[in-house]
Amino acid sequence: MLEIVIASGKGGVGKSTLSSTLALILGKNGEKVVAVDADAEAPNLHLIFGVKEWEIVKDYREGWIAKIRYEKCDNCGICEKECPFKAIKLVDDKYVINEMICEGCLTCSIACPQRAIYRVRTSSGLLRAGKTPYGFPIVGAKLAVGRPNSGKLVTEVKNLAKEIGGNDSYYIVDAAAGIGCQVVSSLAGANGVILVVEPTPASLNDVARLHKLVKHFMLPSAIVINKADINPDFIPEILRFAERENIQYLGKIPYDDKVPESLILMKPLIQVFPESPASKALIDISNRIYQEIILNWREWFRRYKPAKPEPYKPLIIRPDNIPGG
Amino acid sequence: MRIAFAVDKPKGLDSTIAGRFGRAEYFVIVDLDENGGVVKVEEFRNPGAESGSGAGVKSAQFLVDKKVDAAVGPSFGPNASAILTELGIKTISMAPGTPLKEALERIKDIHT
Repeated sequence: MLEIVIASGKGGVGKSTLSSTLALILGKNGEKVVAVDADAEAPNLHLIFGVKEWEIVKDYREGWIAKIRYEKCDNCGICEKECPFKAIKLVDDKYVINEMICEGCLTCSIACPQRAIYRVRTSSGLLRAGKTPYGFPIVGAKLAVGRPNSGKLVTEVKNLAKEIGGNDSYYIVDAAAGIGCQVVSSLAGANGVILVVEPTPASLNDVARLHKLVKHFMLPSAIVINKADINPDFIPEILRFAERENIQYLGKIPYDDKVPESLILMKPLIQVFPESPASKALIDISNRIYQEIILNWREWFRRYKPAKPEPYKPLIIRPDNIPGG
Repeated sequence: MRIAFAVDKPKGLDSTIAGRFGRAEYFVIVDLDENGGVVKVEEFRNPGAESGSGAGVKSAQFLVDKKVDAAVGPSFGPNASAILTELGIKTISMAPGTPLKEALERIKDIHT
């Protein structure tokens, strides 16, 4: 069992394209593989595989929300006064809790002399699992619109994936963009990271920030340059970053109009346009990941493990010295 | 010395190190005397495991409240390591699945 995370910091650089190709290549090599979509805010790995139906759909409940038992309520209005979030208002002679604002802190319930307020779990989204048309399972989640980003949901996704795939599967985790809670949860417990970057300062900046997080978890990484020909002059800068940080360079993928075309068809690029330039590069890179990282993990881990964890730098904020201010 | 171990299942000294720190299901806290002998073993549910976000912060806060001197986990996220380091609690990384007894032996080798 190995858990390989595909991450980039910046969005739209090709995480899902690489994740889907890698999962397919592992499948074609007869390996047990599970595709894990760890982006619950904008899940779309299933769209690449053309998955339209889910075999398992579970309600995911995380936050709390207050409810009023109106048969006990005597309209005293104490709850409205005490609510620290100003989530309770008198509407048509009835106190109403605005569920978009309520944090479920229960201050109102404690303050209520009639004991008319209780709390319930709110539905934060869905956990779901199904089969791709290519024989291997896919697991993901969908956050309800406006619900807070959740590392716990990503953990639940990974746990469900492991229930399905067991101890002898490879897990390809397609991480969310950014370096926040969801991505922290994607990295925690993983075995290695494939960084995807495009040759732009914005992308390198985001991947460098992400790599600091990777070093917290002392995980080895490799890097892939996507859309390499849109700005080839910038590639040496990326290679210098990789060398400085002891990140394995796996190769580059050219910009290719066939990529958006395949997304419209809802089929993986390497299935519909196997001869396209991006396909060939993706297949080469996925084969390298399979041979050099997955089948050779112990050695690869030793060679590319960060020398030391990201150092802890205390952030001291003084009124006269606001960082970035 | 008082050491907290992030574990998947609470089986006292027979527990094994969890796959992650902030969302480990349980902590086993072991008190050692000056010679490294086990004095007391306690088990606690990790409040960080349940939280939607800020798992590292919650679990670190919990260990701070429990007044541990060191924390053992597979690796430590940015928030957990910041809090523990700032408060002088040693963070020790050990591979997931390491049995607690073995982890204790290794800590004795390093720290006594």
